[in-house]
Amino acid sequence: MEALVVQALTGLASASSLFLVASGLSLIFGVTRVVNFAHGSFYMLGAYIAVTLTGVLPRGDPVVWWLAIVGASVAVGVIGAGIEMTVLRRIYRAPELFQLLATFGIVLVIQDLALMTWGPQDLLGPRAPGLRGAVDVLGQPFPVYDLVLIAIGPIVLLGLWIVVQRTRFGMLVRAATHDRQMVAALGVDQRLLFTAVFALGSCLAGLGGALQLPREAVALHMDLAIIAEVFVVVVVGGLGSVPGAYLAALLISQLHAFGILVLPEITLVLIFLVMAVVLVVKPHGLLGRPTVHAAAAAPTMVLGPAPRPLRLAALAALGVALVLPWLGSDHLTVLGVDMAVFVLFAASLHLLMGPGGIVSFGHAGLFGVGAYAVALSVKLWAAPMALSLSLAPIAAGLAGVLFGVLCAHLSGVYLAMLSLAFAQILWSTSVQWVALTGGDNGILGVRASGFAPASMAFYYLTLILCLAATLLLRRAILAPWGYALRAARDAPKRAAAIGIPIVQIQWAAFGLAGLAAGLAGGLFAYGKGSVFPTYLSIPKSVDALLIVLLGGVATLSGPIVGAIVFVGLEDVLTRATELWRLVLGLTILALVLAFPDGIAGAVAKATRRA
Amino acid sequence: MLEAIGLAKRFGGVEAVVDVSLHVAAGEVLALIGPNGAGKTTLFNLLAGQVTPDRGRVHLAGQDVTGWTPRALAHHGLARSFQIPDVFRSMTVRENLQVALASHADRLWRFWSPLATTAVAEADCLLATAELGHLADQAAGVLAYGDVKRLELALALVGEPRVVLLDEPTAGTAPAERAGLMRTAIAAARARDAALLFTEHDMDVVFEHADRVAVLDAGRIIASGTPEAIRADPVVQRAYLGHG
Ligand SMILES: Nc1ncnc2c1ncn2[C@@H]1O[C@H](COP(=O)(O)OP(=O)(O)OP(=O)(O)O)[C@@H](O)[C@H]1O
Ligand SMILES: [Mg+2]
Repeated sequence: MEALVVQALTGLASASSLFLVASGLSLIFGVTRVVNFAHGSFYMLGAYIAVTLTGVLPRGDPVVWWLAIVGASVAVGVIGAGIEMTVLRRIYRAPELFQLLATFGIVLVIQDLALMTWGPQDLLGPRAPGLRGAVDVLGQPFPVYDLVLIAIGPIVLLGLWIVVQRTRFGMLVRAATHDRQMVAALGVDQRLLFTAVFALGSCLAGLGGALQLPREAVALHMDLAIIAEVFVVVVVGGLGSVPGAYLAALLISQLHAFGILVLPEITLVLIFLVMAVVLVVKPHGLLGRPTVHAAAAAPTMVLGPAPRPLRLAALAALGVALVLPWLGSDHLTVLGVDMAVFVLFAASLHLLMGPGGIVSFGHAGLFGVGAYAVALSVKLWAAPMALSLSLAPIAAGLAGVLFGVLCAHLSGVYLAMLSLAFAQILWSTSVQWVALTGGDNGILGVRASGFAPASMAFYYLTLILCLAATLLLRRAILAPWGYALRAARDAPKRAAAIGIPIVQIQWAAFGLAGLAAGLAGGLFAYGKGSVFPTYLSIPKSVDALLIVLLGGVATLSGPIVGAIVFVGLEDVLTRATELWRLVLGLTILALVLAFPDGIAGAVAKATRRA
Repeated sequence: MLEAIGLAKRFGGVEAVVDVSLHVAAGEVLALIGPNGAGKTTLFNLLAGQVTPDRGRVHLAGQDVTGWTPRALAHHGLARSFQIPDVFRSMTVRENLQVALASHADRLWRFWSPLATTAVAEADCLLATAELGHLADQAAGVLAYGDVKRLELALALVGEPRVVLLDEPTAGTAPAERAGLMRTAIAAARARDAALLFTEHDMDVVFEHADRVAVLDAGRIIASGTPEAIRADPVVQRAYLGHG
């Protein structure tokens, strides 16, 4: 009993930090309609800057310590405002997907800048002076600092509530959250409002990070670790609702706290299920309201034959692929395997994004399920290659259908965030379930006799399987089923009125995408001879998104060319520079800023003009 | 064939449809008229399942279909067009019809045979009916407005429907085109012995083509009868025709 109370209190303390970060994200989304991926980076920056400030300021004085925490939070607010003014301001009108990608570009840039500034090792900050001890709660020791944290959550909630409900600034925030046009009508300088809200939101994220100082070491992976959880909180609470964020933070933190006691491996799955149930019952979250959306852009994307140069490039690539292993370079052969795998991986995402109009930010989850299915079947049952390579698509296909059933009914941003959370939960499971997955050390020795990674046999096997699967996907897209999927994307009301079972068709799309991504993942596992949690990680999902966007959503050969270019570039980049994240991040930003309509849109415009 | 009994729907404070009862027989053409905001589109949405009624029932071909999904209703013989055209813009005109035909023939779960070879003859036949044959390979997203309306009509004729609901089938088209479009629609419905219910703001079109006319005002049916009777009805003249 006593242990349970202490556990509940620990949950409350965690809820406060989570709430601070989530409320910032929710405010920013409410006003700007941008889902800010980089919000986790602000959290991380808050923690790092707090370490530096507490380090340079005199130690031991509580007032100085708290000043350092607040200082870190303000500094992050300023950084946030700067980013808003230089990058985000230019893309408020861009498609959602591009905004998400741009903010992911910021994540990458901040990661490398943080690495350069603070180094790769984890940092420990000083504990809060005067709050180091523990108090007695029902005979159990409980950290004093956590009690302070428990209080901070409601205090900030109250403060935000007063600001939002009682000030002119708050009135504008509410107006912008519920009806964009109203703000314009109020005659307010929107740019100032957006910058101010972004600064406030970043400030809250920074505070959340700084306050974690006494509780955990500051590390470079904090950004992506928190962002998935924050997405869950914001989605469950309702995008744009601050009280909703608090409620959801409480719910999720308590689930965490008690889940750990019962079955640590299941906790994350439980959280995902709770989220799914909430969204089935209340598609806009616990306290969210349906927002007045700007009229959705008409789907003008036509899925047609690729432009001639693109088709020729694809044919040339196939020609090179057929003779590649004869060139005698192991490096090239391995690179060829990667390219074939990524062609299939991208094609599977393209099925959802192009004909389906469904933007998944967690596609690596399905890829990883395939990879782990192979690795686990080899490790546990010494499965032969034929068996394990059949299990991979089946497992990922089932995961895809499950995911589709939970998410297909959601709209744009919600689906993007949920798919990300889904993949992140799989990732956490692969990291935490060490007994089964080996955690961060992964599973090594994924081999099949006769099919060594750089061997000609394995290369051709991969090439044939990936090509065949990609062609099958293409076939399905051009079959009645694929058209039904497109019909549901183009005009859902009309599609239902002519009797198309939209939801089931979309579930099938998730299933097919899962099959293909799983096969790609399985082949990738054999190609590397090992699997690691990074296969399921957010950056892998973003790789797939980038490829599809690079090649263009509107054509079938787009993702093929995109994959080859991307894998080739990545190979060159990672060998050329340590700072490949920085380069990739800046490239993404440059692309998005240069083509705010999307690359496909730009190409379409150019060809129309020509 | 189609019967509504005491249908009602309220949106917040707006009573969009209040106790509406009507029926359309097979082969009959019923026009629904009324000023903007009278509730015509809402009534269509109630009949075709896009909106669930607060009260009342809908019967289709002798079966109570209240609360059915649009999809179930479509497979039970109800077809409709939308006031704001809603076609599959990324497909060609023929593909629009082919996917609709595949849906009605329960052929959507085919992953292998291409759509391009599915129901070509039927699609072209419908295109001819709607006078769209020359645009078959045109992308639906770039059609002129009148042609989109024709495509809407063709889509509403897919699958031998028992009941066809057309929401302002001629709105936005050139006046010269209207009578022809309406004649095409009615001939197609009659040829299939389908019940046809349409809304229309152009009174000439209504009085020329309808067997019966029902007048909706502020969500209620205030009169119904033959075109002559409606034209002469003082209530209708005061409530509606007086404005126009
Ligand atoms: N989804 C909705 N939510 C709220 N109010 C609605 C909704 N749909 C219709 N209404 C309201 O119901 C009333 C009837 O609208 P409806 O579109 O059915 O009229 P209509 O007769 O089709 O008009 P029009 O001739 O302009 O097409 C209007 O006051 C409209 O604002
Ligand atoms: Mg209407």
